[in-house]
Amino acid sequence: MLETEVALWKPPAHLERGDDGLATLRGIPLFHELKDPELKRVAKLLHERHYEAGEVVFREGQTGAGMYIIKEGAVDIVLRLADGAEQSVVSLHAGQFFGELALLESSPRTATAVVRKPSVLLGLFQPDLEQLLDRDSKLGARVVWNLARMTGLRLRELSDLMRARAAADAEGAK
Amino acid sequence: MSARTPPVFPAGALIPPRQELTLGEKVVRGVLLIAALGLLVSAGWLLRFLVLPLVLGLLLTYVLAPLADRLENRGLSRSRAVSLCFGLILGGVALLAYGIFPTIESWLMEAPKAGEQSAFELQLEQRIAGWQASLTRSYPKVNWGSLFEALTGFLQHQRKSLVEGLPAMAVELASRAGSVALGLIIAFFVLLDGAVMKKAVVALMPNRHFENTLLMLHRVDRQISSYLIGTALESLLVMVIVAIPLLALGMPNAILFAVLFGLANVIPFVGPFIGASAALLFSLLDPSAPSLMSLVIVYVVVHFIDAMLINPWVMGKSLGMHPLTVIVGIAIGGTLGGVAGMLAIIPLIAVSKAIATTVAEGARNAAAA
Repeated sequence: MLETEVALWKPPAHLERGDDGLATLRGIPLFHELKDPELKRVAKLLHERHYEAGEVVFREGQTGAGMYIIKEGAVDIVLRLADGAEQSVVSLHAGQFFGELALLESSPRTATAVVRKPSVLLGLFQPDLEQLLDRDSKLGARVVWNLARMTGLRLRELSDLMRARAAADAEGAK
Repeated sequence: MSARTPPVFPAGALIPPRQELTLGEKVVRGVLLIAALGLLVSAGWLLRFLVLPLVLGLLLTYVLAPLADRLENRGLSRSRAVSLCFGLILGGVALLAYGIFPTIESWLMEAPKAGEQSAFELQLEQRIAGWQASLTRSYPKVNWGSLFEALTGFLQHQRKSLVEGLPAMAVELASRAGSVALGLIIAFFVLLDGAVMKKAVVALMPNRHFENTLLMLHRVDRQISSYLIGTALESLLVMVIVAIPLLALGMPNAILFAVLFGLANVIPFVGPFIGASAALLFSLLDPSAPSLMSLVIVYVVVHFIDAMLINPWVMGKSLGMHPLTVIVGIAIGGTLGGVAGMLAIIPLIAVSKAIATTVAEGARNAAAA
C-alpha cells in the first residue's frame, strides 16, 4: 500500500500518539476519572477541526450532532434576541467545551458558536458515542454518566443565575 | 456567579452573516457539482466489476459488526474480534462443505449414465402415472391422457434445459468465487478499520458541511442496519410460522424446509415460490410426505400472513416506510433490475430517504439561521 493511502485512513498523528490530545482531554469533566488507555480510546473517536477567526462553528436553530472541545483558541457563545440583537453569553477558551446537549439528542442548537481567534476544536458526536457504547459499554456508560452529571450541574448553574438576576431586577425596581 | 446581564449588540456585530452566493457563483458550483457527479458515475461504470464484491463485503460487514462489537466489548482487541468472526465464518463453511460433500459424492456416484433416468425421474414418473390412473378412474369422461402428456413434455423440457444449463451455471459460479473472495477481504478491512475510514472521509468535508455529513452517514448506517435486522426478523418469524403446520402435518425434514422457506423469503415476490417449491417437489416423491394440496394451502396461508401482516409491520417499524412505498418500490426494482433490483430497492429507498432528510434539514437550517 502506498504511504499516502496509509496516511489517508490514519487518524491525526497526535491522536495516534495520544500525547497533547490527552492533555486536553484530561481536563474535560466529560472524561473525568478516565485512565490514560481509556482516554486514548476516546481520543481516537474525536474529530479535529481547524477554524479561522470569525468562522461560525454552528448557528442557533441548526440541528446539532455533538459537542466540541476547544483544544486551542477561543469561542464565543452568542444568543440572538427576539429583536435581532445579539448577546455574547460566555467566552470559552482552551480546555473548555460546548454543545454537549446535542450528544444526547439531535436537537436544534440553542445558541450560535463563533470562533474569536484561529482555533482547533475536537468534536465528539452522537454516532461516535453510540459506537463507544457498542464497543466498550463500561467506558461509554462512564462518559454518559459524566454527561448526565454535567447537564445537572449546568441546569443548577442556570437556575442559580436566573434567581440572582431576578433578585437584582427586584432590587433595581425598588 | 455574576448576575450582571451581558451587553447587547446590534444584529451582525457578533455573528457574521451567512455569505450569500451570487448567481454566477451558484451557476459555477452547479456546473462543478454536475461534472463531479458525472465523473463519479463514469468511474462507477468503469469499476462496475467491483460492485458485487463491494456489496457483498458491506453486507457481510453489517452482519458481522454486532458480533465483532460484542467480542470487543468482552475485552478482545478489535483485530482479534474481527479475526475470530472470520474464523467462525470460514470454520462454518468448512463444516458445511464437510457435511455436504459425502451427499454430493453419493449423488455423483448414483448419477445416471447417458440415456438412463435418475431415481428422481423414475419416482416422479411413477407418481404422475399414479395420479393419472386415479383421476381417470374418478373422472373417466375427461381426456387426462393429453393433459398428462403435456405435463410430461413440460417436465422433460425443463429437465433438458437444466442439464444443458449446468456447465454454464458451474462456470458462472466459479467466476463469482473471485468476487466472493474479494468481498470477504473488503469486509475484513471495513470491519477492522471502518470507523477510521469513515472519519477520514468526514475529515475531507469543509467545516460548514461537516456535522451534516456526519449525521447523514450515521442515518444511512442506521437505515441499512435496520433493514438487515428487519429482514432477518421477518425471515425468522416466517420460518417459525411455517415450521408449526409442517411439523403438525408430519412433513419429513420439516425444520429444513422451514429454514429454506425463511431464507428464500428474503427475495421479494419470487422468494416464497422458490422456498416452497423444495417442499412441494419433495412431497411429489416421498409417499410419507403430506399431500401436495395441504402443503400448497400451508405455504399460501403463511405467505399471505407475511405479506399482509409481518412484512408491513417489520419494515414499517424498522425503516419507517409506508407499506405502499415498499410494494411500489419492489415493483419498480423488479422491472428495472429483476431479482437483484427487488432485493436492492428497499435499502436504496431507505438510504435515499436518510440522505434526503438530512439535506432538507440542512436547507431548512440554512434558511432559519
